[in-house]
Amino acid sequence: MPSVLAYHRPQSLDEAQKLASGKNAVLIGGGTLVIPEVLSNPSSETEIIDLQSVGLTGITSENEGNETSIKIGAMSRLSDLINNENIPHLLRELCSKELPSTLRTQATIGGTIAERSSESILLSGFLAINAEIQIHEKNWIPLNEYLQSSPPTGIVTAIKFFGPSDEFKSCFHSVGRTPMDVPIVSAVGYSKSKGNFQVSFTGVAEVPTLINASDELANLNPQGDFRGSSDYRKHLASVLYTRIAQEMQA
Amino acid sequence: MKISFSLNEQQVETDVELHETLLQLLRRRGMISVRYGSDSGETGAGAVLIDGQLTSTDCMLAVQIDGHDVLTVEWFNKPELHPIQAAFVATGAMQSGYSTPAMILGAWELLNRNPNPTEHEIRDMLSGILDRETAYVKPVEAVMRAAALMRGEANEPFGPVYLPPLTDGKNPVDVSPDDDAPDASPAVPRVVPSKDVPEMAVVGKPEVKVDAVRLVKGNPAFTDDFEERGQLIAKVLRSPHAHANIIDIDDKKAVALPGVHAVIHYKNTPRIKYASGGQSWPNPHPHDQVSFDNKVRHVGDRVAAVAAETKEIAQTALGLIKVEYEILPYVLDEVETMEPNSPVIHDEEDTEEIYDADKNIVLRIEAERGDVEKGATEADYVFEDTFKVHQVQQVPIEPHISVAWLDSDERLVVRTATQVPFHVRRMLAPLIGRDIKDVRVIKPRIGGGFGAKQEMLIEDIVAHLAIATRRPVKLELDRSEEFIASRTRHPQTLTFTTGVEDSGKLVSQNLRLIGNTGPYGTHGQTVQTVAGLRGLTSYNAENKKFDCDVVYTNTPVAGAYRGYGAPQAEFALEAHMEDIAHSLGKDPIEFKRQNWVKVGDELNIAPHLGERPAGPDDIDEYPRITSNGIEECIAQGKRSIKWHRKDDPNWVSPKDQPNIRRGLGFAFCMHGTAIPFLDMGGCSIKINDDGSFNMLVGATDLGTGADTVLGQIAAEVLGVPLSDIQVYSSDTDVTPFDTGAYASSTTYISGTAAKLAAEKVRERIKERAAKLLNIKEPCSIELRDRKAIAPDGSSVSIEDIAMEAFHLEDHEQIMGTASYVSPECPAPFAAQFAEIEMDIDTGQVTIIKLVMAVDCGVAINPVTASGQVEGGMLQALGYAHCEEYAFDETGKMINDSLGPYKIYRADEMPDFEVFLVQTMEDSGPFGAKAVAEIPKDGVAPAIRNAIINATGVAINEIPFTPERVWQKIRESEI
Repeated sequence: MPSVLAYHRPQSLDEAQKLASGKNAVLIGGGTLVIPEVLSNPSSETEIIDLQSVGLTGITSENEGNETSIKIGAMSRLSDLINNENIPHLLRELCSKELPSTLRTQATIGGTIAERSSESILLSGFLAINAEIQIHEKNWIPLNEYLQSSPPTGIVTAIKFFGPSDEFKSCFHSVGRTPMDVPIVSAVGYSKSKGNFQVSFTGVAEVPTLINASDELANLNPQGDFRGSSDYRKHLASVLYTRIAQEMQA
Repeated sequence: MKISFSLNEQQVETDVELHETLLQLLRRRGMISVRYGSDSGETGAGAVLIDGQLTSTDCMLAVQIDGHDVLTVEWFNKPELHPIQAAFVATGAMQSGYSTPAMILGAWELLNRNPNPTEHEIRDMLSGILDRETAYVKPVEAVMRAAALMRGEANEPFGPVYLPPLTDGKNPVDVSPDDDAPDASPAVPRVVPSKDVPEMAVVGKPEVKVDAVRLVKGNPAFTDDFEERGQLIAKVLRSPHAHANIIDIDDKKAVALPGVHAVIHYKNTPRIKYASGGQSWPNPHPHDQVSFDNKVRHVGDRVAAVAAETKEIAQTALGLIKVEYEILPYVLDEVETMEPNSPVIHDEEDTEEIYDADKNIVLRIEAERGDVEKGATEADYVFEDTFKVHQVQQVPIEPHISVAWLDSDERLVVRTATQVPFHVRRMLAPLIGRDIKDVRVIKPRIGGGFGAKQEMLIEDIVAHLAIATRRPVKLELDRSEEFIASRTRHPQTLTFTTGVEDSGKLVSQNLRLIGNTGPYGTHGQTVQTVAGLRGLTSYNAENKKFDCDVVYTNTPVAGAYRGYGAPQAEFALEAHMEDIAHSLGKDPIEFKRQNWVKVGDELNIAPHLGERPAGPDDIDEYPRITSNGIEECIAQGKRSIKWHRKDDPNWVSPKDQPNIRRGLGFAFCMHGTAIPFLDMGGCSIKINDDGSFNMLVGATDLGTGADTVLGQIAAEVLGVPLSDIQVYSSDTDVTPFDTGAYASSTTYISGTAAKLAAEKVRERIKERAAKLLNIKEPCSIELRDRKAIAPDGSSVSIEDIAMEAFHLEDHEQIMGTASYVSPECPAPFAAQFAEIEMDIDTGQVTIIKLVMAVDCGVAINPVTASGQVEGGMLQALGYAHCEEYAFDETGKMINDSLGPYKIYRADEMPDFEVFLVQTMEDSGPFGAKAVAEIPKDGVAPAIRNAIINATGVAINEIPFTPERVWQKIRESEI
């Protein structure tokens, strides 16, 4: 009873989609999270569907009306974003903080989205800037909608967002045990135009969460753990929101 | 499945198993520089370049690499070192060197992309390669120097900067705010020489480590780098329960699984009691362990073990073993465990010498000098504070690993990552029904130990399995097992009660300590006695008392961890003394100085605490402090940290950042050097035809540079360069006995043995030289520059003397053997400073800088010594700031991986600065004292005291995690 029963490297999305419907099939981008989990269970009989050959790489920019849309293929590695000057500075910084050097060269954007980790600051960054994601054979949907609903079936193929406008502002604040620790709570502030801003949090819900006004903070009911109790996380959310509000309104 | 990829620019076609990781494939193909540290990619020890990018290989399937390019450090290996490898060698950037190949590959990729990287960029590159040894200080320097070399620029030779002393060695001085510390790279040790130390040829010099080339090339060095033919893989079934009786085990299905060769557990393994701590004979009681028991006492405790053809089969077999448990209540807290209704953890009848099994008290330790109660009554003030310190792990990047097999004479051979090969041999033999002479233990290089490997932890399992299967068997723990089934630091509750006169003089000091050893005693006695020793010998007080209970709980097992009780005690002591000073309105350093021990002071309680304590009337003369460079340490440290800022309100509370507070903190540190009358080291040296020497030592180099330091000592005596000494260490069949690498003993104990053995060889060389030179008094001959030189200037080379001895006249093997046990335990001293910044709205504390100035006597090798301080401070920083065990409601550790556990990585380190303040310790080899453990002692109290400077808030529990600090700030309403 092996942990890995089969390995497939489909050459197209359609082929991948078909394989993904198989029993015990698991899609991998880089596999940094999936592979250790699969191997830890010697009788899981997993069928690995490796997406490295389906062609979802590439970071492109195109004009949409007055704005520039940046599209990132789901198989782009986090290190690809760091090295791409079209990616806004804040997102590149979040990629660096998301994973250390030896993992960000393997982990993919698609994997990060599919993982839906409540602690992903990169996902939180995309959420703050109103990114949309595309699932194979489906329309673009807002990342927020994707995160707030049950995970849909299908392969995440890309993420896109509008590039910085003239009045664009963004910032990142976090609290952790050490400077590069996975934050207990983090907040990405984003303002597209003066007077309006929104804040995306990690560490306060099951997925990164968008807050548009301070009174929404009262609705948060974070799960506590040994790094921070529920009350402490709520307190941090309030402190970080206030700081971001001051920065955005300055 | 067949795959094709480029490996080091050679096209490879190979079959792989689908579950095989890339790390396993590369090692199988001989790329043994790619090393295992975890299964999650978190350590980076197995990182290689994939399509030119540094990538972990342990969380990637081998099949994923089909069609890609892989480079490992073997690709670099030519007779000449690559400039990056050369820079790592020159700067002492590796200690164990376990992860060095990954660092070299990362540096190569970075420098190809960016020939002139910033420190930030280098640290970012290193962020995925965890290192518990160097604190990343010297690796960063190595990459910078390699970058310069590759740009065609010359580097200055790497070595210490020598600083003039600021004091007369005895008295304090005021350090002017305008006096800046000299500007030099943080990697460079700052050495403050002593006029009492003579100039030497090899000792005191920044010699390159003797194993450096092997390590930077990724050559075979570690246990897993050598594979026996037909080797089986072992895995251990571990308890999911914190406390349970095993009613029955059914192994039939596991035994029947094809590829399984043996399944062992309590029903088929002899029940022989032992204590697993790697300590001198007789091991302290209680002997409360057996190889496999019918009771489990913590989550992760052993239940059964399997030997199989592959890891996959072994893991599958574990799932087929049926275990029937009777789950029992459990207890984790050291105070709660002594309460009447707590579960009894050792209710078996065959464990002797538990002090009070019904109350889970393993043993009581009591020692007193003077009359503490009377002293407290007579004092003008009595202060009492209680402190809680927590459980942490050593986290060696190389996990525990052992391989056992029967050799052609059917003797059992164990190659194992251990700090104590001779103890392992002695302790293992009775468990497997063999005589000591029928067991051989070989210690290759170790990828970090820090005390975790001062234990017979898994050697008995591979031995049982090798005997059962008659095949070589390897067992390597995974990262989770390292956390739950290895060894940890003892959590403790400590209460200091101190009586003080109006003048500030201490008159009494009582330490009540409850030490949590987990479910087995192992190092429980010795660690707690060292905590008592360190807690009660740093400051003079006529009346002292240590009152200690060592208790069982159902946490993972505590054991030896670098510092060995001192970090716990010194946190409490330095916090307590700081608080007393503030309560009395005194400057903390002045108050401590008034009371700390000085040269000539008696260590009045020391002999009554230890593995073999002296009785109240056994001591004629108490040990005294023989050397102490603390005043120079403080002066250098104050200047470096800019101590005057602590009194500047504008610095402490910056006006433009209302949520920020800054602070500086200090801790006085005193440690020991070896265990007197107990720690022993042996050394044997023989000459070769060419005038070089083979040196055999039982001492265990954990990456500390011990082999290098011992070689330097011998080279100094023999008048040859270090390159003429070939050091071979730790093989019980070949090398002399040594108690092992612990208790800050190797340089002092094994170093003295090396010096004595070298002196015997030197005397023979001189006698033969006198004959050859027609000199009547051999003692007038000096050995230097590979020659024996007479007073009249005539000389003969050591090579000629060797040739003559082997081949011409009075044939003999010139050799010398010596061993050493010390009657003394000279104390190294240090001043630890910390600078912090904290956010009072969130409780987040950021460590900005750590400075340690150490009096370690004469640093035999200032580069390796400063590396010890850097690595020690890194581990101490984690202890103080972020590392901790967390448990769920079933008693299971919930953060048993490196992310949630959190150890510091390269891109988040504070600045480090290390000063080595020389003193001449006459009892040590060439003036040396210990340096390895003292850096573990002062970081936590220095940070705590810096938090007081920043906010006035005193926190008596570590680590200083954000919520804990925030709660304290809230309570204090600042």
